[in-house]
Amino acid sequence: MSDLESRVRAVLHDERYAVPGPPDPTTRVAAAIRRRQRNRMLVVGVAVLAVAVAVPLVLGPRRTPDRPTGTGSSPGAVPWLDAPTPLPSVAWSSPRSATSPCVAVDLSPATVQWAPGTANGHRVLIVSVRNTGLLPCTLADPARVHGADLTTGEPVTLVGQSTTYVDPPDDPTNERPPTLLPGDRAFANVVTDTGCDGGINPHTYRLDDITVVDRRDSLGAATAASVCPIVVGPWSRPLGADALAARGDAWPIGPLSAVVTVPGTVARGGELVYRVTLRNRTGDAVDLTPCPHYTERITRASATYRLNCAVHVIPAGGSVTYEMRMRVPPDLPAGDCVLFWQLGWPNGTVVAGATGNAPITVT
Amino acid sequence: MRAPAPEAPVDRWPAPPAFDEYVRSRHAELLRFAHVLCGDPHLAADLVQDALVGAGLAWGRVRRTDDPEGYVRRAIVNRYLSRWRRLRRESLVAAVPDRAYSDAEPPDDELWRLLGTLPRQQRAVLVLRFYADLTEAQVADVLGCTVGTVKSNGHRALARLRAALGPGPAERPAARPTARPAERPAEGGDGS
Repeated sequence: MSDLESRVRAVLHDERYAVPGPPDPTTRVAAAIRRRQRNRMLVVGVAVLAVAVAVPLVLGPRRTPDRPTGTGSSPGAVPWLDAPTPLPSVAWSSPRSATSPCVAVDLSPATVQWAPGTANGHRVLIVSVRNTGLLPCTLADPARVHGADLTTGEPVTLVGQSTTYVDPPDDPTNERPPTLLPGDRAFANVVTDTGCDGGINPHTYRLDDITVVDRRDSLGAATAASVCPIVVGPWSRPLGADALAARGDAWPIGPLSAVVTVPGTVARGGELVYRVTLRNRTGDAVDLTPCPHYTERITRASATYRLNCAVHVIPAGGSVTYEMRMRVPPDLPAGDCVLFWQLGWPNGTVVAGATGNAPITVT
Repeated sequence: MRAPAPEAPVDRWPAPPAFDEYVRSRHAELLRFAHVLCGDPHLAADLVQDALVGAGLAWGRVRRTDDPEGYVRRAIVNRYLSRWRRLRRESLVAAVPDRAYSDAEPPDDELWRLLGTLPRQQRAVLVLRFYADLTEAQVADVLGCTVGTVKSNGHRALARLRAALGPGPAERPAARPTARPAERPAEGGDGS
């Protein structure tokens, strides 16, 4: 060991560099321990409080009320509820005998709205008029739509037909011609088709106005692309599910729209798993209470189930996606079909607007 | 009937008799160790207090170790070398403690002061080697570094002291009229 090391050792061990300690170190240390424990508890308490306050603040605005996370095969969707239910009896409106013809002065100006979604390439513009008179009347005069074929520049006049793709013949759910009590609405469908003719030679039409009896009402120059000629359907009055919606000021296309998303094909005898997204197009929340049911149909196969009302509030401008499952009968004919989906209230009326279609191939 | 709530632990920290006894018997020595380590009596008291509080809170675990003293000393060294503590309290001017007059050989104030100018890691090596009488391997274990680092730090520390004290076979003149100005610790020269 060098002299320097010895010197360092000596100075470090020199008792004269010792410092006097406290007279009772144990009390001092114990007090410090108690202080630190108290501080730790305080920190933990503050942390717990901060988390308790922060979590709702962080998660609250992003959370959709009553919207659980999806499970199973459809992440993000409200799970399917295996709750078959009989189709509620509908408060049918009885057909009425024809009465005096409606005159234009007793009918409100025509209003129009595109039906949500498409069915097999069809788009439907729904035209509605309301009996604003004091007496019942029958709207027998076919509607006439005036416009132009923008592709050729030729003017076009479309006269209401007795049937269209969405106005099947002998339809028991609609009265034609409609007899309207004061306040009742009549509807006519302007139907486009982009699926026929192989999808070639498309035309775009401008729909300028519609003749209601002897009065022309504007259609707002709605434009519609079509391949086949546009077809105007008959005036009709809903007798079944839409009957209540057709009363008063109610519009059959309500605040909801339904978009049906299906896989391209489904095998006969298998289970079709698909999704329906209900979108609220308004600024107010829609509460699906009482819990509605839905009807799904592929050609002649049909089933009715109760919706999973674990999520029954659709926030303003928001949407909720529900998982759906449907057993496809093994004897269902193979081919291209349309899956029809419709939401209904327990009293048998439809949830206005909550109707959708999607093409699907049965193999 | 509802059972009474347990008393808050902060109000009745159960000082284990063994810990109580340990503090009572070892506090002065730990304070001395901390003092030679840092050269500042106030910081030394702070280091010891801090280390003992940590040991007291974990006394059950500390007692199960073979070397509670080593645990506490390691805690003192770690706190001394803590970068945060270094930032909080960088006043390492070697304070010469008040002491009683003695007829014995005068204290080596200059060397004491020079020890205070060493980087902390180097000073810790010297203290652990020549005060705690640890081997280089034990010092490396306490400091959490390699033996090579311990050797290099010890070598640098002695070289720095040697250079500051000046040449001479005994490296310590019988009497120096004035102490050399304290050197500033080299930036990053702690060899860690």
